[in-house]
Amino acid sequence: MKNRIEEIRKDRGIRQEEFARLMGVSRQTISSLETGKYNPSIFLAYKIARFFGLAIEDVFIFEEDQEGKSDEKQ
Amino acid sequence: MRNSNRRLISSIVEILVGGALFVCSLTGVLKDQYWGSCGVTLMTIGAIFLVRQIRYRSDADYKEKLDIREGDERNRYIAMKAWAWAGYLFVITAGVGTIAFKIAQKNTQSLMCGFAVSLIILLYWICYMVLQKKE
Repeated sequence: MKNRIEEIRKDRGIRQEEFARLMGVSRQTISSLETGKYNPSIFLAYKIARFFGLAIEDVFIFEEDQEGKSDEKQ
Repeated sequence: MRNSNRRLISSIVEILVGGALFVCSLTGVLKDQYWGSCGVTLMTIGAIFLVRQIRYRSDADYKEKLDIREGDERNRYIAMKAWAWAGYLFVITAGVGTIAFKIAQKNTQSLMCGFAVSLIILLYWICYMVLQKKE
């Protein structure tokens, strides 16, 4: 699943470390989310979208052909 | 960290039990030296966890780092996946071992490997059934 986390985060001038701390996850998790290696749980996806004040579909882009694929590509 | 108090108590218990085993082995109450080694191992593990617990309670940065590491969903996912991979690799290794030992005419070892494969598959099946009802 593609997402706009990096773009939105950079727009708002938030560093990865700070964003990770605010979301209660590790910096590596944010990095993996931004590079598309890891798909978040619905809970984390909501938390991120809510933090940015956006709807979940404005942050995460659902791709039908990706359905059922592994959460972690590595 | 979840169950911080419980972990602190269990590490103290580990040190005490380990110490008791070591002393019993040293004084000859327990004849087998195996228990002495077990005691030292248990004491070492207990001491490591005790130091960790003390640091967790006194160092705010370390507490935050550990809480994030424990609560991080990707970490939990990777840990689960690592267990799954370890399980697959174990089954494959034991399966290969079953055949290899049979070819080498080491029937006992072959039987043990085969038994290990059967046991892990049985455990997987039971866990799957339990989780299917639970989740």
